[in-house]
Amino acid sequence: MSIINNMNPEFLSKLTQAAREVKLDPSEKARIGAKLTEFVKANPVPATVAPASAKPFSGSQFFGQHFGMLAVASFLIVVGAGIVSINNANPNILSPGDSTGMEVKLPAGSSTGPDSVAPASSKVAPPVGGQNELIYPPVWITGTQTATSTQVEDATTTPDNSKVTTASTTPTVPTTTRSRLQ
Amino acid sequence: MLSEANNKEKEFGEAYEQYSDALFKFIAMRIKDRERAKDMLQDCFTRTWQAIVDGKEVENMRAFLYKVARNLVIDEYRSHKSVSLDEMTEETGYEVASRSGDNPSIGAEVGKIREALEKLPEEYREVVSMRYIDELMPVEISEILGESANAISVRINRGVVMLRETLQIEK
Repeated sequence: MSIINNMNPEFLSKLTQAAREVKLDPSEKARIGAKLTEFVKANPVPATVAPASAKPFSGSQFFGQHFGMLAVASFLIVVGAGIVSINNANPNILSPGDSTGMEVKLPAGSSTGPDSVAPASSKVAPPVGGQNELIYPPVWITGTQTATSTQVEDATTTPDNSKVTTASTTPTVPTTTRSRLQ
Repeated sequence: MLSEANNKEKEFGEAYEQYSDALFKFIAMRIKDRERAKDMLQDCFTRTWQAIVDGKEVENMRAFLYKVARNLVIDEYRSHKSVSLDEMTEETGYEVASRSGDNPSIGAEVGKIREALEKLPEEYREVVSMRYIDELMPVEISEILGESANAISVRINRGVVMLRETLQIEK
């Protein structure tokens, strides 16, 4: 049996039709309606309370509403004033800046804590020649790409250390640079 | 403030015009006493208005009225607990089937369906009645009963299947 069939069962339509005949007569409806109108008039919806901002200020009403808060505030003021007066009267109670009368003596040579200044060895030396100085000329100016790679290749293929040293130290680069610049 | 009160009165009057017939049917089909149903209809509206006066915010007037009517019917059943529905019908002489047109065969058929409906468990009888007698949609029933529309649809389907089995109607 499908759900659609269940949702529209034909046999129940007769019951629906029969129930539709159960109606309130217009005269009965009007009579009940009149009674309800009377009831509504006799029991109106109470007007809502006006917002507090619309009311004029009343000192006594304010005091009455906030009596508890005012009482607590005045109590705190009295207690605070009492503490201040006791503090002034008793020399045993410390105030800011008073000496405690106690000195802590440290053994000679003992450290009181880490130095605020870093040791000299830990300081970073400034770069040689300043920040903007180029130690090696950049490739795009000198054109050392070819020369250097060749020399490195030689150095790697030849197990002779002197050649490698020569390759890395021989100033072939300036020659190339010079010829290019010329 | 005054206009707000007037608006509520106007809204309430419109609700009476719009829903009183359906609510009367809802009550009368369950109580089976026409005169008592009229009193209960009036009671339903006065209670609703009293709730509004007491500050109740009614968002869905129709659903609220049905809830009040349903509670009144339940109270009525409780007060007549010792009296069966058949006895109530005999007492009042009011039978829906007898009022269904001039065709006596239809009346008898409707009577059989109503009998079968009465035999259904309460949870199924209520939703099937609301769907096929009061012609409320599952969503509206869910608002009145405070359950999900899906749960109501499922229960209506099961109730119809049970009713069909009771009446031995072929699928």
